[in-house]
Amino acid sequence: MYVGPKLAEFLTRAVEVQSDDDIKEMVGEIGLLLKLPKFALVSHVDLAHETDGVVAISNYPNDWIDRIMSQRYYLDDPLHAASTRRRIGFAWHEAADIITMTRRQHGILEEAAAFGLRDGITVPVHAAGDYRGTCSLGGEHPVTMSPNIVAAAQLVAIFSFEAARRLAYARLGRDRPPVPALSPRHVDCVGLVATGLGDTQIAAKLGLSEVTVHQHIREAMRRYGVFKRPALVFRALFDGQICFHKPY
Amino acid sequence: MAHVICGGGGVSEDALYAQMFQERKRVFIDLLGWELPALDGRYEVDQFDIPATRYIICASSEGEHLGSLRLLPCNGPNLLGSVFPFLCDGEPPAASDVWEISRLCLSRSIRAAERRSVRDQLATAVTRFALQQGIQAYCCVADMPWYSQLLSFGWRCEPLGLPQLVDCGMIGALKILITDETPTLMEQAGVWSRSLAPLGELAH
Repeated sequence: MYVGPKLAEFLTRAVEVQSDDDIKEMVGEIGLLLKLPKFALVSHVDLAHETDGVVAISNYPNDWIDRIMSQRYYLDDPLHAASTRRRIGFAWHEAADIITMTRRQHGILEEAAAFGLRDGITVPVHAAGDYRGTCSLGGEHPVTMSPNIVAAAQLVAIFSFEAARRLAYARLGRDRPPVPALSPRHVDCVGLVATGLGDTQIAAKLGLSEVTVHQHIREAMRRYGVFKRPALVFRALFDGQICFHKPY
Repeated sequence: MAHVICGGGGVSEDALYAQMFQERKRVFIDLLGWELPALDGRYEVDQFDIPATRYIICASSEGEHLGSLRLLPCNGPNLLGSVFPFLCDGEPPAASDVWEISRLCLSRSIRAAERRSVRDQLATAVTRFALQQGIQAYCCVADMPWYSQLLSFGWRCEPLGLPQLVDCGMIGALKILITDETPTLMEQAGVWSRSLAPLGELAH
């Protein structure tokens, strides 16, 4: 196994890119060498809404991208769904083994094939306190998951996604917003809200009065600048102030 | 010898060490399930915790361990050279100006808002240590999420070989290049802790 000269060159370029076009060119080139010429670097968010620090760079055919956006396929894209179950890259032809795919999801993969995206590798990219995302590399040909290909795809994914995130945050022109400080009691209450308990039940569980629980939750919402409990849970999860554990 | 940052509140080094090894047990053995022995059922200590080893510990003003990491000079025994040499294409680094980072550990009891801050302080301190000691690069063995995190610090990383799938998942060996430019890159990444070191302070 070796980090070949082309891959080494790619990794050097990744830190020097200044624009999304640079990224497209760079990933496209390495993709050609891997026989996976089509790529998509995407944060897992609702792309139809403008959000800060979101990554969405791709050289997929424009018609296919239009279809993904207009049909909002990214919301139940089977590759994105499968990527949440994996820590490393997987082949598209393995997706059906990772998740139980719906008919719509099978349909999405078949449609993609018609646009020249017959098989590929999707690599989940994680960063603490940031949007989960994926790097997908695909093309016309079936993919053989040899150790070299898997490892090369992994490095391409990690370095190109970081380059894309760096550019996305630089465009914001400011520091990433700090995580609002919640006291341990706030966190306890928000965590129990997330499980669906009401104030009475939370109070009983924590040995507090209902009024206190209500105040803690209101204070947590105030610190996050949100007005509804689901929004509070969403933000606290995103920041890792509360977390879930896999049930399996 | 520990480099204590953020005060430590007059608590002895031994006490901080003890907390560090206890926290390593809680994180690496209890939480992450690594197959490591626990000394006395409480401390995670291995064959690389020796006199030549350095540690950077971030402590609260009350002397509580918040986070720590371990540094080993590569011209001596280290994880990459001794346990994971197959992760390198060539020979693992063995120069005196390359050190290995391992056992980066954040106390399980600290909350998310503080975790990020402690992690950033450790990254800043380890960079300062390198610049002050003439260390040209760090190396480490990383799983894929940690690999991404290291890149997100603004550090210039170079793989030492292709990542490989082992029992516990995919891991890779990488080198982190430290130069005069590194603090600025970390500042751009929002990671440089100014409270530890104003950018202009570093001179060697």
